[in-house]
Amino acid sequence: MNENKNIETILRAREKRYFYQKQLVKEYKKTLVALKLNIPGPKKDGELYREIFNNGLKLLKVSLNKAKIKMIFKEIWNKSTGSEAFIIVDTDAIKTKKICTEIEETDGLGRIYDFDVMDALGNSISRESIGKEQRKCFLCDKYVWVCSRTRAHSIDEMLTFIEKTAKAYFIKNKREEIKWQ
Amino acid sequence: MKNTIGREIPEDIIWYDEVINYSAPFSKEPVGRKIAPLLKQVKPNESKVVSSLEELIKKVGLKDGMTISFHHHFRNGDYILNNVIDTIAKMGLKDITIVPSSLSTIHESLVEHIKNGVITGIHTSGIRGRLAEEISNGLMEKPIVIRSHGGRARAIEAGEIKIDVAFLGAPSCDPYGNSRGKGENTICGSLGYSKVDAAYADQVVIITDDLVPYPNCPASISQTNVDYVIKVDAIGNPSGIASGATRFTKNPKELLIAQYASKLIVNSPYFKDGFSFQTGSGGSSLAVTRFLKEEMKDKNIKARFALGGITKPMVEMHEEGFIEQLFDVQSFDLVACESIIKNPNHHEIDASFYANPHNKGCIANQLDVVILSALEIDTNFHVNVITGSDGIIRGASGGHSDTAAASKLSIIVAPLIRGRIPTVVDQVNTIITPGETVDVLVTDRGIAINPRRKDLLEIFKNTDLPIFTIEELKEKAEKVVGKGRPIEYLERVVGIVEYRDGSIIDVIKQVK
Repeated sequence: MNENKNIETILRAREKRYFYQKQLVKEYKKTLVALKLNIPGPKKDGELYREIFNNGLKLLKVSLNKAKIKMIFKEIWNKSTGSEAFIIVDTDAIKTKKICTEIEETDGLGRIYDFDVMDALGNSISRESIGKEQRKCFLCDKYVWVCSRTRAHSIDEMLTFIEKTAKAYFIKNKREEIKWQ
Repeated sequence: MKNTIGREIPEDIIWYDEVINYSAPFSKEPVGRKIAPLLKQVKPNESKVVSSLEELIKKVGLKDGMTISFHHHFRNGDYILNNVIDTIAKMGLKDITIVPSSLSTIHESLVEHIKNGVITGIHTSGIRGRLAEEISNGLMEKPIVIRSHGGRARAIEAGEIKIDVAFLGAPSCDPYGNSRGKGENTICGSLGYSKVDAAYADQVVIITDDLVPYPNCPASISQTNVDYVIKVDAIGNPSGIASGATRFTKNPKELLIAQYASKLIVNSPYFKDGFSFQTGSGGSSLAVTRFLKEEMKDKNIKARFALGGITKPMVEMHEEGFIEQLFDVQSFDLVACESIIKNPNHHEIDASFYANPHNKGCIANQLDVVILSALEIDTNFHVNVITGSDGIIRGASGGHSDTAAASKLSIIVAPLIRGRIPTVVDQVNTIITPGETVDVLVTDRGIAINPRRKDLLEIFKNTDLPIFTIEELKEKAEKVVGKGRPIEYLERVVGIVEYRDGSIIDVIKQVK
């Protein structure tokens, strides 16, 4: 497989992302939300993944609008290492983290979204700090880190789950849209 | 919301499901497949020739709300767009979006059709004259979308621009649709921009004033893409389509700029046997071609290819053996129009081959040196070629951002002061080309190298060329004419500037 071929690119992207987030926070001195997807394995980009990503972004926008929070800066990377969004918002980090966690926990694709919130000083806000449990695995009820450390599930198993869930979700969404019209 | 170069971009724009802000020249990677044209059966005895525009518009089933395209190879001599829109208006159609590859001053009658609700959307590369002024003053409800030539080809192939009917003018065509850039009455040379429309539109119509016997080959547009053919009295005014020959400038400022620019190229690492270049049709740009030729003669250097809008000086260099091959998406003068027909190594290329960032490699990627113009350039090297110093739309995106990003050395040539207005400013009105893709600015009062190009700074450290920082050039201009007053804009967005990859780099606001 091409598993190892892409690993270096992925690691480099991860490093780049971290430094970029720090830089943005330093520049704007405000809360940063970063969105990416939890996609295991080397292939992190594709049409379906972009659709999931755009959906997560849309939900974030809707939630921020509802809470009357202004977005000050937005950047999206559409790369082979997966799409990523960086958004600077005009509110405190805890409130933002709560909004993001709410999306992760209520939306049908919530487990695939990965929202990362950084406060104006560049500290990551953990789920624990807002009184939430750590994230659970896609497939079972254990914590993510447990399954990933023990390699409890195969990549194929997880990818199949993501694909099935997302396809069903979008079909249902479309149906609801049609009903609305 | 701000993008990475500090431009405020709206969250929702009518033309986009998801607005992606510009972030870096190559950060937006494509995914998915190109769109495909429709399947269709044409039986052996069927005719494609239609007798009137009205009949044609009925045949293609044009309806309210549809999108139609045109090309700008007839430049300011074009009759096609106006005739088609007049006919559509007479037939009572409304809410049409037009996606021409560009627009000229001849298209000002569109103003009335916009007021009457016939045209409600415009996507183009350039727009000028009264139409542009009216749009800057808030004529249209939906903002116009400005794309580069490469960006337009990309958007069509990606299905982001869906063309229902392409109305393509051709100087000659046979009854089956094979079209060429030369005919009895008119000549336009390359049909490069229209090739993309012909390949991807749902229906393709050829409008000609020279219907010739089958087969009209080698064809720029092939019969396999054409649904209908129509013969009209005149497709355009020949003198507006192509001028006799692009003339050399006598303006001393422009000549000085050209001299500096050619010296810069000659002393750059790219000037060696087998190099490639693109120059535009502006005064200084053309003069660079002339100076380069002398240097090439002296040093016995030949170019492997020249690209772009092709002009007489390039054709001469090709015929004299200084340029091996010409790649031509648009022939700028009669000499170029004739050359593309007679010279086997003067190639016609489509806009995707030219500059699309999301195919499997455009020719611009192979380009060493490009000379480009500017209305304004700021201290971050961002370039404006679309709005004037009064904030009103008056230009075209063209291949500017495409070739700046893709080439190895992009040189902007411009006078330091135009009229009483400085060209180098703190912040340009509108960004078409991001500063990170611009390497050098050459003015009549000095040269500025982008600090990102440390290699070039090193090379030109000890030359007799007048090298300054861009801030110094800005101060020089301000010393003479003072600082310009900022333009007052209203909140309303009248134009969207799409970067070549489909992200939004800037918006144009209504002027006060």
